[in-house]
Amino acid sequence: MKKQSHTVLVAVAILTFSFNVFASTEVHLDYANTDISDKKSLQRGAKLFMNYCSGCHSIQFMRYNHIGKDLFLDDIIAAYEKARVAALSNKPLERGDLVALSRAFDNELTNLDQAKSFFAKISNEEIEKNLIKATDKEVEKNLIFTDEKVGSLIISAMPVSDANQWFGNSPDLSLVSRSKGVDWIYSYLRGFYRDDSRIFGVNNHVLENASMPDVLWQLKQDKSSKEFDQDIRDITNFLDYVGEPAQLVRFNLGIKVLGFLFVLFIFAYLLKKEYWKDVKYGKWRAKD
Amino acid sequence: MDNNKNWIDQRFPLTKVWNEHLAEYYTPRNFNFWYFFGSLAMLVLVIQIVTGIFLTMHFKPDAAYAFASVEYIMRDVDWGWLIRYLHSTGASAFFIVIYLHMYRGLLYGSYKAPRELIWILGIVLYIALMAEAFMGYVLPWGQMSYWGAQVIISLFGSVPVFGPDILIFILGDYAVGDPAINRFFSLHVIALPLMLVVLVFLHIVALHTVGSNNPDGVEIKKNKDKNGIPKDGIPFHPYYSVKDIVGVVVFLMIFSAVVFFAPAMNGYFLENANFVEANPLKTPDHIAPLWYLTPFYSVLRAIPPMFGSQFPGVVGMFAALLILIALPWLDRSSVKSIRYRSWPYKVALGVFVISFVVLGYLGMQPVTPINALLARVFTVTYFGFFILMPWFTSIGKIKPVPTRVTE
Amino acid sequence: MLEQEIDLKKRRFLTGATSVVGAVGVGFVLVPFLSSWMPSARAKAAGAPVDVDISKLDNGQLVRVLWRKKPVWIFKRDKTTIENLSTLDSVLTDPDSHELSQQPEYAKNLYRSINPDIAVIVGVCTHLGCSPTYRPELGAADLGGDSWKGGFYCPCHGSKFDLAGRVYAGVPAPTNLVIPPYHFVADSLIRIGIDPKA
Repeated sequence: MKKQSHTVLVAVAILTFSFNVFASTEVHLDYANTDISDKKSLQRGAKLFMNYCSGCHSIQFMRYNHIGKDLFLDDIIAAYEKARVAALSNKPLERGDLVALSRAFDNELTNLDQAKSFFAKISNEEIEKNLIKATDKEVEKNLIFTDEKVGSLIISAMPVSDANQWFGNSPDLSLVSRSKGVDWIYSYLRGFYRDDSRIFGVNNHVLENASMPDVLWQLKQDKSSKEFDQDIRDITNFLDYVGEPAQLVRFNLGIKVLGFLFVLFIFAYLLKKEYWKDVKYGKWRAKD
Repeated sequence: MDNNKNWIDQRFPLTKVWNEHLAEYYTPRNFNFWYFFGSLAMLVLVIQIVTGIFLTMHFKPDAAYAFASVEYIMRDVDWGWLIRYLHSTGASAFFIVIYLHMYRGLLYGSYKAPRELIWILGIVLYIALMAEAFMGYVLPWGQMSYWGAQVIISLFGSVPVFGPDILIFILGDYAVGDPAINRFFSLHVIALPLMLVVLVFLHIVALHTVGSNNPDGVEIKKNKDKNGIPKDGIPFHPYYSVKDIVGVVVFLMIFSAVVFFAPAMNGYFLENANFVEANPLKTPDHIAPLWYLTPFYSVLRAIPPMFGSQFPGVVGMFAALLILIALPWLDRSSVKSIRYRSWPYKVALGVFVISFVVLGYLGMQPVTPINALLARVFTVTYFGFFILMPWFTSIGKIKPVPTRVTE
Repeated sequence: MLEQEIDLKKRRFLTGATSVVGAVGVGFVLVPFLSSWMPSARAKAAGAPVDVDISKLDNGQLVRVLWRKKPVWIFKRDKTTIENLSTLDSVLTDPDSHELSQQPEYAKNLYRSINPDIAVIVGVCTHLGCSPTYRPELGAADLGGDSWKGGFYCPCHGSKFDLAGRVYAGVPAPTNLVIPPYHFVADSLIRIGIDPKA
């Protein structure tokens, strides 16, 4: 099993690279204008990716439930919090509220009284566990179209050897945003044009003679160009997130760390200034 | 409390060491900005060792798993991304700090007698650090790791007669592969760090024997009061310990800003191509070592092959490093500090710094005719700084050096 | 120049304040480093609940599955075995499962299980972590002859357990074997790792 996944890994790496062979450095790239903090965009991107891309492309370093925790958990918690506040202040519960509470308790709730009696005996820890479980269900519903478990890595449904046969290659996309950048992804996905000399009838402005069919043509046809661009932007944004999930937390954390260090700096600076009065006023100057 | 202290002091010179190296270690009172980088280098060494220990717990030194295990650290290990970024940023920060530390030595003549050994130990440290960084960069097993290793190790293959055998010996294989990453891992996490720690210890022992130089280049030990305490000295602790803490905090602010807001530093600290797994079948369009090695890489490329061998370039590259050791004996000036030096030295130092920076820049760029020409010119000026030093340090008018340090 | 008086109080305050803030910083730094030792996402995924189909399990038959890298035994007890469980109180250390950490609330009963006939037990000796062997045969000569009603015997240090995982008195193991969280997804499908719904 290990051996096999290793072979897959190496094969994917090679594919990723051969993908690069024709990449020209002079191609004009459009500005992707993605926003990594836009959760809704990331959620849409995740769904689009799983629908249109994951058939052929894996994101082998990413786990389904990691995406769930990063992109969907907040919504589940927000819904639960809203319902909880409503329940505790005796407001009538809407259906959505009951659903949110039911998920947090992992138990079907039909009215306010039931919800309240549950609040009395359930621990916060239990609720937290169940909210994560609810998130996992959300992920199963929206992102998993195979019988994979939520903790699994996102490996393409198509075996690598098949992909090879059909398209020449279909690289893993875990790190494409880091090796090529978001503008490249955005421009590439928008860069398909009709070319009957190619097997799939399309060619690409960004990647000459790309062997990928224009899988998004249906979207391009059905939507306005603005909506289509937004879809592409969402996929790009999602791949940016996949390239480095820590992006979602490191900016905020960095501000806190810098704030803390600034406080430490003030004390350290005052301490230094205080001690150096000795030097300034001659305590350590020669006593001659 | 005192009893405990006595108990220990009878068995271990705790109080003695504390006094000799901190509380009664007299340091010139006129240290400026440039004197922060010694303690900062120690701080970065500690950061690298601690983060390295934790990375080692999750990393797999195996050509088949190394790349994936780094991504595993970045995603699956709790806080792994932070530990990894601290380590990768730490590597670059180490060199920034060390380069500034070395430049301080050039500014104030800290390498001159009686501090030649401190300087030599420092150069050995610097070379060991380069080896450490190079091997560390191979470990993530991305395209740049792989091809960088391929290029650098091929240099050894250019040694006349024994080259090919040396190459196979270093790699334990016929190309960079699993044995290479495995042995580099061992050297990177055990051998070289141990060596660095020992060298740092020796560097400091040597420093504390002769005492620190200062921006005036005045020996404070020549002026002592009746208690034998240098008149221009202040105890390292508490004065410089509290001052260095301020330096540490400011450094950490800059360091954190990079770690949290730009850990890849636009490809300078983590190269884009290194996010693609090593592939022996495809060389990236453009290979460059990480920025801190590029000045020497430029020297290597600037020297043309001779007699059908790349060896002269390799010799040139190592000569560019090793010539630093000769500095204390090349400098004939009677003054240490730039403040009192003659103008030819100031000009030469300026030219040297420009040469080093330009060579560093060129080492990151692809070779073009104009780049190649520039690299040659600045390689000449780089070596010129050393070769002409006995001459330009003995001409021009020096300013009188005060007997005591100035404010 | 006048020599200023040293304000010792101010120095002490600033030294204290800097040290405290610095120590808090070190505390913060410890968090990521120590957290990195917790099970990673991979370990958690590998420790996910395990489903076991028991439709083909015969009386007395035992299957082993790995859950969180530990062996879990699932076996079927026949009527005699179940009846024997209540006759052993005098030779057991904790016949009524008072030690609460060894089983979930819903398994704190005579059978230490949800259904009397299906036992689910973590097969790790509570002494030093060996996995005991399954010895269901009645009256095994090497395990006390007639008084042996079937159970588990740990080859490492000789601890004995009955068929509900309860420890015998006078052996090295201090407590009963652990019952993992589990529930019945269907009549013949057990999910190990998740409690039944509240």
